[in-house]
Amino acid sequence: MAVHMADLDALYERLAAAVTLQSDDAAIRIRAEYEPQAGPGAKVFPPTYMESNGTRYHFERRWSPEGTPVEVVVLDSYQSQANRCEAALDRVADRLRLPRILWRFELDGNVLELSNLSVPHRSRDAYIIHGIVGGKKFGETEVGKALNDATDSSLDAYLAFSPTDLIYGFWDSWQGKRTQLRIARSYTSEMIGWQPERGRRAAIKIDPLVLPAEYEVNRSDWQGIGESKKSKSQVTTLSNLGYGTNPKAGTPQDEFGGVAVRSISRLGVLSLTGLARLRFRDEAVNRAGRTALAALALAGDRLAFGGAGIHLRSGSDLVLRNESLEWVQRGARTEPLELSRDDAVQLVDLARERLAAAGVAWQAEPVVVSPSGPLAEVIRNVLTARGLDDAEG
Amino acid sequence: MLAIRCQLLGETFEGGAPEDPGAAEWPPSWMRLFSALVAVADHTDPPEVELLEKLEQLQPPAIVADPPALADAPEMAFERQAWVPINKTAKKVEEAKSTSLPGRLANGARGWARFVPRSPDILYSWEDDPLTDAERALLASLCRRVPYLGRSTSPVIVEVVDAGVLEEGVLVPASSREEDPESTDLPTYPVRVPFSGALAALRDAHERKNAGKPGDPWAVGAYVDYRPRVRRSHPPTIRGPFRELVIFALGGPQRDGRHAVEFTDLLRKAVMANLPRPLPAVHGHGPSESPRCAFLALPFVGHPHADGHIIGLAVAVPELEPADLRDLWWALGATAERGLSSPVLGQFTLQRLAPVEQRRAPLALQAWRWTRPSDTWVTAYPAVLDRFVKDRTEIPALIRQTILNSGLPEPVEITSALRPFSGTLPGALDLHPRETTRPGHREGFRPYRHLYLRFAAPVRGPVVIGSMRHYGLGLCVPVTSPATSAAREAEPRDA
Repeated sequence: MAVHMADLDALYERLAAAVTLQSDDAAIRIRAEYEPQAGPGAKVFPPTYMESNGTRYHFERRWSPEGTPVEVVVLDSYQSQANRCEAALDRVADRLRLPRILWRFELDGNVLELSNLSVPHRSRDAYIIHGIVGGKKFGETEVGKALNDATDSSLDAYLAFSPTDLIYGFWDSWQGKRTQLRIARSYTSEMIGWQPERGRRAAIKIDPLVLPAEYEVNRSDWQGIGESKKSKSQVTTLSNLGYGTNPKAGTPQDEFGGVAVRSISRLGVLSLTGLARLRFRDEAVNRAGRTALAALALAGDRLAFGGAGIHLRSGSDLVLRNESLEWVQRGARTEPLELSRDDAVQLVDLARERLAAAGVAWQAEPVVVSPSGPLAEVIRNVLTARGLDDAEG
Repeated sequence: MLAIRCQLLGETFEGGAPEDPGAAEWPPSWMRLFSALVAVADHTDPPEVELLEKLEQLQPPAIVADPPALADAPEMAFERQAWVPINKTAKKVEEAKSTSLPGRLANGARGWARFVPRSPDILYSWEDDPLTDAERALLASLCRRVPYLGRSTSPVIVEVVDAGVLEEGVLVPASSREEDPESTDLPTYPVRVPFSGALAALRDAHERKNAGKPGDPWAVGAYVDYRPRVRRSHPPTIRGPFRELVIFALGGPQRDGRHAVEFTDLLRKAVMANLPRPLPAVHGHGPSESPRCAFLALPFVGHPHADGHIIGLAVAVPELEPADLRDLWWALGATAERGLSSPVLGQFTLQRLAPVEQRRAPLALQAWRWTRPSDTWVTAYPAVLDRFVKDRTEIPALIRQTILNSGLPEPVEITSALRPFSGTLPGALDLHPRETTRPGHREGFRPYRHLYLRFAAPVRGPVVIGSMRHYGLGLCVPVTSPATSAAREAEPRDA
């Protein structure tokens, strides 16, 4: 154990040297190969985007080892991979004593809860910015004010209250502020499938009642909502209400029929040079803060991707075939790095203690924010489908 | 000489061109790199500000990238588009169109321009050395701080490096003084460069952006026309015996380079069969000094993963009479149309590549891969020597004679070995004696050697050496920088 601690300590020191630009280590790169759980060549389902050229998948090309362009398909984008790391950190936030801002909404005894690790714009998300804490606007609370006042030369508030923002990047786009703070991501990761063969979707949802999907009906009669306002959009089709066979017979399903790929690869980069740009109140916090962020980023990657496999989405369950981590150094040199999930979590523990020693203590008790009155009303209406008659179209 | 190398850590570059944000800016301009240096500099530190002011005044650098310009590989440029959550909450229920976030506006569309280069390295180089040692050290320190180029999804390592003379894939400002008569009809590309006042313009754009006003730091820059560099060769290039290389992509079952002679024999016979009249340049029966075609099997070599399998076939054509050339072209066209077929090797299609298609084909199918002038050449297939020997001591002299007999000048340096120089040229073929003779010919096995040659001046390829050169053995690959690895390879070598 003592030896192990010494290893972790050495890893911490190496990261600290890199994020203060005292060494040649510029980044940590992760390469991995996966295959479908059903076996090589089984179909996987990429994420769908806007339709273009008759497909909703994102096809691109890469260079093969022979130097020829080969087709690839994006299986998971940068943004999605970052979200997976955040979700993994969110799940173990208590264990890591990770500071968080929770957005909570209650409706009829059900609680809807999102955190700064799950909302789209991180701590600068509209839900949080426009939230209320104990009757006070979030921006008027100590935490909210500190985040609002942060600048790119003093990011201490982010380090203390929403550290993951500094890893995955954010843009404080609220108008009327002195400066619109933007922090670029330092962690990037993407998964692609090589040489995809486009599939066709044979699946179809059969309506056992064989109701005609295009048949027009009065919405409130069918939804059983009872009293609804009279409006033009009272009339709807059965397919909009979930009845009828789907997709309609004869619809081409090539645009999202899945793909079979030769191989699946993931390439992730944690830019230690990127973390080195983050500035806090003094040199001690610079060193301990950036190293803590590096440890968090590694933990996010290991917790999200360090297992035996990964579930990307329905129809895309993958098994890890092989994986390698490496230090990328100046002068085009690399060096292997070994880091298990447990090690990564313990590294965060060590980094948290060193950060506290430098004067920034993480508060494990989350800040809880609720939506303000008007927004709560809108959300209540959305969730109960009230007023949706007007919102159709 | 001052050079800055930018190494992409991923497989893609993301960064839009100011004039068309949906298209990637490739190569990333000097202005883009300058902006990155401005972004990481400490603007309260006078030496750093002075250095930036000096950098904006520099002459535009030569830029080396692969491919040299987006126009060389437009099929590797993409726009990634996606719906992203808008950071606004709805004021009224009918505005709340987000399907995943209650009470939020509908998602907005965003696009990201991306380019997939063949090589992760981009080099910016200045012929002169405009910086003092102190400034150079400060520039190195600035470069160390640059985390990404373009968008943050293109993480990089930027370093000040020592670069040798660059020959390939170089874009230079069209106004540069190395005029070559051949370069006047080359394409030009507009590339953004800093100008006097660029630093102030960037600061101003940054201030406006911070205040939430329109301001586009990435639109700052002056445009300069760049063009591919064409150097006058000094010393002049030596031309080998061949004038032209006709390349065919080979379609069909994958075959190892050990079958090279079987393929070239098959190709030669097919061309002969399609000729309207016998041509000495093809059948080879005639005065010994009359020019002959060489039939080549182009292997996958020179890449760390190279395995030496045959990617294409080629015919190296010597200087011929116009009437002979016309008949040969006709026969080559007819051969390509019919493809090749043999009971041993299988069925193959032949596709003649146009110059534009070559740019995008595997390296082995690109003419310059085999013809690029170079003073250093290494064999992909061993060269079969010109006669039998009684004992091994005759071999060094025989190698020298064989090279001269192949129509090449005498090298200043020869290293030979029985096995390939795999460190210098991965994938080079290690043939068995029976793979060095024509099928069905039982003339005994002549000695053969792999060669690493350096000539006094650049030689234009294709370089094919030895008594089996008309069947593609002894085919050489130009080596860019004399690789010291050749001398270090731990294979038994001839004295």
